[in-house]
Amino acid sequence: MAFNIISTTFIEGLRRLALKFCNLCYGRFILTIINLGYMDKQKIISAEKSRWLQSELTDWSSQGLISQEQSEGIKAYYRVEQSQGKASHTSWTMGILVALGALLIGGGIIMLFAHNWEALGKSARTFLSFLPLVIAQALCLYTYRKRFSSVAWREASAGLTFMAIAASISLIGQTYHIYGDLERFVITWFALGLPLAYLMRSNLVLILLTALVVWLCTFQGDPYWLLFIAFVPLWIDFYHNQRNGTFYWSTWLATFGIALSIMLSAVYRDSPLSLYPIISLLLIATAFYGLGKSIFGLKETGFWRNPLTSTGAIGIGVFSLILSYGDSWSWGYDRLDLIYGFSFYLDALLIFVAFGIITWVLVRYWSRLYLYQRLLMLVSISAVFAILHFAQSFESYILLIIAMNLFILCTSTLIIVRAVELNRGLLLNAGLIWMSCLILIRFFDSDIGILIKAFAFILIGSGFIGVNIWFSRKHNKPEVQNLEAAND
Amino acid sequence: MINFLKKLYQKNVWLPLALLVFAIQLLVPGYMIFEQQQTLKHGELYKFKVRPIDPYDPFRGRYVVLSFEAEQNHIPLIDQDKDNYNYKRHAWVYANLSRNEKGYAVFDSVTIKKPEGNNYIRVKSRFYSVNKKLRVHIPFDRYYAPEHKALAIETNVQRRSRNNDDEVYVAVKIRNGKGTIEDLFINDTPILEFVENLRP
Repeated sequence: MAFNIISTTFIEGLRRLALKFCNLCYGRFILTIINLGYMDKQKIISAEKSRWLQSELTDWSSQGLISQEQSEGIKAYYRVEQSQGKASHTSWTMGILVALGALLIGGGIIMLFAHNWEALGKSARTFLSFLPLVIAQALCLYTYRKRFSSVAWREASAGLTFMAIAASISLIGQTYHIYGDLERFVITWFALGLPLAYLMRSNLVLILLTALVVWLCTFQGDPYWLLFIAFVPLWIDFYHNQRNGTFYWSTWLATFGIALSIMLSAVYRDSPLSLYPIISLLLIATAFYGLGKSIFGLKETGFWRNPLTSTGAIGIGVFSLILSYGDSWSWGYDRLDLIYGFSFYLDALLIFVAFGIITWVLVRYWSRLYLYQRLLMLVSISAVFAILHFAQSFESYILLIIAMNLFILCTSTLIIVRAVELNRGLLLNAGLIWMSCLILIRFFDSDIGILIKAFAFILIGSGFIGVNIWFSRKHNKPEVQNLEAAND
Repeated sequence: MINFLKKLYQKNVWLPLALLVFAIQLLVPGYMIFEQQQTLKHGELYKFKVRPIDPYDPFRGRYVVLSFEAEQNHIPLIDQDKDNYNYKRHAWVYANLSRNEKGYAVFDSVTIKKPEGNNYIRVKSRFYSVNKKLRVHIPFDRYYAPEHKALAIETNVQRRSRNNDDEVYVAVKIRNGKGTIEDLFINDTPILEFVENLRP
């Protein structure tokens, strides 16, 4: 019964949102055309949008909706984004392909060596272990001299050299039966490979180095994620001067890599992070979200082009859903034998750094952030409760669970509303998925008592309706004005 | 730092730096070879009795894992270390070497500090028993073998190391606490030769 009511409300809400969506698109379009005469600055749009506009303009002028002059005026108003020009696009796509080829060749050389050519003898094998490395290095020198502007050449020669380092060390280990200390091997590989990323401006090497750091963090040793700091200067340089497709690839992977390696290095020992793994991950995700907003700008440049914010948003969505569920707050290690060493204080410091980032972004951009963005970042407050629990001054989680449910409900509603306003399909879907996941989980969640469940459902339902009513009251007015203005 | 990166790609900065990096990339494997060669040339020869198994390493291919008879026993700490030893697993300690009546290597005692002379190796601590004795792990535990011969080596060594008449051992050169495997032997025949002779 309750489900029926909620689903009917839900569908009704969706229908109204869809209506509003159509109205808005139309209204905005008319307004834009009216305002054309008053603006002198060109608007920057993507190549894809420009192509669409081009075809529509031809259509409109042939239908007699606008004159040829108006069509030219509209065309002159828009300017196609430069960085996504066709030449650079093909260049980095080829770069990726060639780099992949280089990677396969490098892997092939390693396997060729792994076959163990015992018949060759020690001196021949020693010579062989240097051969690929020297050839790859020579390729790097050639690239610098003649082809440094080509992404493909740079990525390929750097990638080959990177793999050749591993091949060389491995073959020597095999020839002399050196024991298999994998950790030392990976550290050596990392140290010898890192300068390549800088010398050759290679994103492929950055990606491979990221993988090495994640690998190192599985060795249950020291906080190897600190090695990511070594990438920062190059990354900043790429951010300013080389923001192509491979830049976004390596940033996406590094973002996941940092979160993964921080948690990996923490779970093998008792640290403030592994005491409350899910809350820590939520905190990290929130910090990523804020950091992305401040680095890549508040203007929403799309899902793919802001790796930090997108990863953060995904993280907040997933981990808040997990935390909306009974026991998950106290998952993790018991606080039995914490070792207060360097790693412990480093992890504790990390929590404060995350809070620092979040507070700074919130204070600095408060007025420019949408309500849902503020809420997404404010969810980090929940980590405070984990600290309070650690200090044993807070025991009950039931309020937190209810708060977390309300948070997801309100924020996802706000996201849907904002997505409709901004005309962004991906954001709308994200909000809808988030909300429906919450509803589904609550229905199958048997851990909460039936009475509390009932109250929670009533609360969720009324929250849903309330937000919808509030939304239509608040947002109908300017829309009506827009339409009136359009009709004038 | 960012200004430095701008300068990095000028010819007079990039080239020397790149050559330096490439030289280091070559020197590190070069040094590894040098160290092993020095040990093989100037090291003290010890024979370790073994029983092996056969796994695979993605980078270095097939190898035979060696487990040593010298590792099987608990070894006493030397007297001055007995009272101030804090046991930590997988920490480096030093094991003093000698030869038994058959000429195979055995451990006499374990010390925390590096001993004098050439008759010791660096080992990893494994278990610690109440009577202040330690079980250790010898680090040079891999014998890399050609892909198609690894299995034959494994089965032969396994069968023959259980049989008391056959002598299976590795010859290891020891220098400055580090060991380099010379070869794996069955009854004084190098293993690869031995496996080849088995084939019809």
